Amino acid sequence: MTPLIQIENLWKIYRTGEIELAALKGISLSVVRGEFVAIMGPSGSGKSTLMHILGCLDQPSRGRYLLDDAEVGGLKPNELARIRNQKIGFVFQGFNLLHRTTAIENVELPILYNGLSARERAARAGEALERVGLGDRRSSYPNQLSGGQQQRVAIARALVMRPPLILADEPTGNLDTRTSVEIMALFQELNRDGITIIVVTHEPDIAAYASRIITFRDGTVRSDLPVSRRADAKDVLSGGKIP
Amino acid sequence: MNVLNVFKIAGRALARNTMRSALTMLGIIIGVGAVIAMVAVGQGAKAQVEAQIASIGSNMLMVFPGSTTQGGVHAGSGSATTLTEDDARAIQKELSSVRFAAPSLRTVAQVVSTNQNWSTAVTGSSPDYFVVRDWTFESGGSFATSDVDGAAKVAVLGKTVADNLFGSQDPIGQIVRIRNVPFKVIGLLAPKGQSAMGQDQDDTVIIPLSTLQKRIMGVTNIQIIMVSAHSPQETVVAEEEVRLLLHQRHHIPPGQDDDFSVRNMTDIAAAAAASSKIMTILLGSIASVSLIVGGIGIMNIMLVSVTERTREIGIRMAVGARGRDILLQFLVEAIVLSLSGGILGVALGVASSRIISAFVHWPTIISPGSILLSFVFSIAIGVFFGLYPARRAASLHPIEALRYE
Repeated sequence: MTPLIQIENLWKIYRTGEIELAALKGISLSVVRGEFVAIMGPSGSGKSTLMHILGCLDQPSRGRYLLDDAEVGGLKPNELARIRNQKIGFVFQGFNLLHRTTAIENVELPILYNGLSARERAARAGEALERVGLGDRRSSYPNQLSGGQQQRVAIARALVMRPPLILADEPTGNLDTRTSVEIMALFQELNRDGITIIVVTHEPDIAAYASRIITFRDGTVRSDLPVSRRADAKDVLSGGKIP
Repeated sequence: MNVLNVFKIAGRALARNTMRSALTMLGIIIGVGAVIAMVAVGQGAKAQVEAQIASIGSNMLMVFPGSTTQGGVHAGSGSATTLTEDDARAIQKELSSVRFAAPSLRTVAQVVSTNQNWSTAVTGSSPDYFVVRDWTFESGGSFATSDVDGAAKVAVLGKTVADNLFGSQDPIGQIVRIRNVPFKVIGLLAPKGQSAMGQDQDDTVIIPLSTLQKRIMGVTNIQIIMVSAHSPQETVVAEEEVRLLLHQRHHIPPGQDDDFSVRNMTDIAAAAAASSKIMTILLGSIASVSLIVGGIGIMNIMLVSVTERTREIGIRMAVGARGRDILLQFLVEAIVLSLSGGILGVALGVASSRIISAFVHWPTIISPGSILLSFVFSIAIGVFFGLYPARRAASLHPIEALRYE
């Protein structure tokens, strides 16, 4: 399997006046296609910084980052925007949907910046909403949806450009236990269809649905282990272990 | 991202804050409205002045007698009795730049019809007078040169005089008495309205010069020679030639004061036209200030909007919007604001011009030029004042924008 993500000796240094703060201290790791990675670690350990760099929202200070065999370091903002649009789907803790904008329009948003025809746009967005099980809530506004449903809309938006990679930053942080498992079940399903997924989380329960757990501390990788007894979210849901 | 989508998004974003958008637009509406209304008032005034000037007559010079001095006391200009009908004839005959020269004499007299009377200015002149002053006839016609030679008792009435003496009756063929001398009315002048000085030009009676001199006033001099040059350019030449000719005829040696004066009406006309143009520019520029204030209002609101929607900008950037897309989005919003303000402002400007015309009775002219200009100007204001907030939005860092609470 070829690696989808390959980073070598990655540094991120923040400068505020005289003070330099290294958020990432020479990280090297690679993620192959089809993996489901959970990134754990305390606040300030550098996991969010890594996610931003992986998501092409930020550039590393030093080191190499190859995404899908292409060097990302040194690209111009417009080229980064193009990569975010086509290769990466983002899922956030706070959903980050546009208010007063319907579910389908939220899902269409990435396509607006790609220039597909209006018909194709609606078809793809509808398809993505079907896939997350919200085919009947196309015209609902975010405030008419539950937290879990809003996160599903956000996942549909991440899917709509058919990217090889989904980055989820604490996607279950604002959800109750049952909804969290439902969201993880959806991620596992997408993962089985071949999409590489990287999830940042605080909760070991959530990390247990991944196939590999990377733990961060002080800007370095502390451990990088495959999950031996991987939980299946669907079984958990049907097993009745959750109220 | 295609243009239609950009406009759709902009329209939706503005519709979300209806009240705020409307108030922001109000600045542009008032600005554009004020520019159009003020320019309409200015243009109306200019057209009125030009019409009044045209009503004096074209390419006109006026020759007045000079002042007299009696025992060291200077009487006013025009008091001398040195100007004669022969001077007028000589000007017309001898000067190539002159088309017509009409001598005229004027007095105020009571004009009496069968059962009405009216005090008016009675002017004695030659048939050329009508040509020089661009008078046309509503009915009847002018007296002939033979009438002037024979001191015929015929009169041409102005509209105001005819209305007051005869009402709706046809004045042609009627008899009027001026200082007990009976005159037959042979012509009715087409109305000219007010002069540039606010006088009613139609309040006049015109009779042959000799008739006025011999039968009514008992004088031999004249008061004014109205000279019409062949073209506007020739008025200057004509002015100089008239001066030289009268020097000769009146035997005025160099260095001595003239016993006449020549006034070029074209100069006066040009001055009046220039002052009304200045008024238009002044009114227009004062109104433009409010347009700029409106633009600042747009910038203000767009800056607030960019700050409020920082997170939205972050989300859009995360899903692949380039800086250019964000810039375009906010710029188009500003342009939609200013352009719709501009369209409503044109409507307001046209409406208020009509209202000014209807209630204050000022003439207003709404020129397509001023509408087009305010249109273009309001788009330009949208671009100019929208660019800074839009650039600010586009230059946001995606992570900071996403983190913004």
